[in-house]
Amino acid sequence: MSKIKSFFTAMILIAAVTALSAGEQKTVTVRVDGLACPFCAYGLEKKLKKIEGVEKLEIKINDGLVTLYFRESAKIDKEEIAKKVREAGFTPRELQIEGESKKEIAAMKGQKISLNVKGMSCEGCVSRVKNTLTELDCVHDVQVSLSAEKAEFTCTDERVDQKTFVQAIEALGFKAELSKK
Amino acid sequence: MRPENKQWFLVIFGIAVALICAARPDSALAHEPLFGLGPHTVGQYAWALESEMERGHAGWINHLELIYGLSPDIALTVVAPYAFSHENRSPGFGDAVLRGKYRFYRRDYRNGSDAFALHSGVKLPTGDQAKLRGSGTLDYFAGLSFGRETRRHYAFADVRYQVNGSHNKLNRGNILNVEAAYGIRPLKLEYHQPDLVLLGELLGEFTGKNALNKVDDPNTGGFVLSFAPGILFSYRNVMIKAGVKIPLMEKLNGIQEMPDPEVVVGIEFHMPPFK
Repeated sequence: MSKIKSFFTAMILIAAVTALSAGEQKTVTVRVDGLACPFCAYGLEKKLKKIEGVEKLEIKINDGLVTLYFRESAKIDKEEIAKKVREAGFTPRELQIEGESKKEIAAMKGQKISLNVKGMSCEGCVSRVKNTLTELDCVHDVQVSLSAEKAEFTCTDERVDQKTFVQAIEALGFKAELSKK
Repeated sequence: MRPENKQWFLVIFGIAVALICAARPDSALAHEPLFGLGPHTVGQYAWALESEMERGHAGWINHLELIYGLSPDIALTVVAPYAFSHENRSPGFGDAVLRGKYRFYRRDYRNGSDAFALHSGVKLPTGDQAKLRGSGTLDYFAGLSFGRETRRHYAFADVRYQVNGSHNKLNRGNILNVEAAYGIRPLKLEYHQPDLVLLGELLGEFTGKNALNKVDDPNTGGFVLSFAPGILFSYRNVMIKAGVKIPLMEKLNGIQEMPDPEVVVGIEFHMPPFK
């Protein structure tokens, strides 16, 4: 009986460790132009595997995409990835780090900002305000109400001075102030 | 310039061209036509080994090739041809060849690329002429190639000119090749699956007359147009290639027979980069 218990305990431990290690990966997806043949992709695979922290990678030739799986503690150097792609004879394009977008999403849950905006008279004004705020790097989920004369959004960077948002709106010719709510 | 000095000049010239290519910081061979040239390279610090068995009028010859990528756009190749016994020839290594390729233009796009490359090479008189394994001459060539590679289609075109040296007062005619190739990948499979490309090459070869004691031999040289169907089959880093060059038409000088068909069967291994 004790042997069976030990066996199940070992199995549970192995499963737990496997699950943990599976979750301890960061993924980077790179669009690689010039990727047309599997024979040439071999050189790309070997080059990218030399990057420190890469545990495995996946090449999808038909999509022109390469996904790199880094261990959680690895430092991801976008320039080094691009350099290795170039050295293999291809052209790197967009690079997306999955971990980063998760951090962004987490940060987005933190800081909600509300502005009172006066002087908007039509939906065109609403669009101008919305577009101006959306163009700012840290700003997400912008909602602008003409009737309530308000602009609400989330800022993902606590270091940004909130006066920046006021100034961006006032540059459009509207009057703006931070909502005290 | 004395003939010996001229040969050394050409050796130094060939090495200089290779070094100039190597000195370019941003500039590598993969899918290529079987008989023509292509602009593709192996990648920086990557290398490849190739063994290509060729059967022509000179019997079976195995071309052993070592290819190295100096940079993403520069590849150097050393070819050591091993000639098997044929008629009066005893087996052994023939004339070694050094080749350089510089891909000077590349435009990559999703699932494809267009590229142009300059080629140069020197054939060294390393084969034993007495045993009919070498020409005894230093020959060199220069060429230009274009390649378009997509997931479905391949297109190649090249032009090259080979200047042949003289030995024992025999000067073989120079050779101009003008070639075009088309390839198609019937199945667009993924990376860890086998890959097949079907090729068709159209090969034009203009050869000058041989001259003995500066007197042209009227029964040498001329033009031959050939067609060469072939296949390239790869899995991961291994490629098997095979093709046959069939002369279609000729306009040969004097009295000459149509050349024999040539058969090529090869295997190529791409190796991981050194760093």
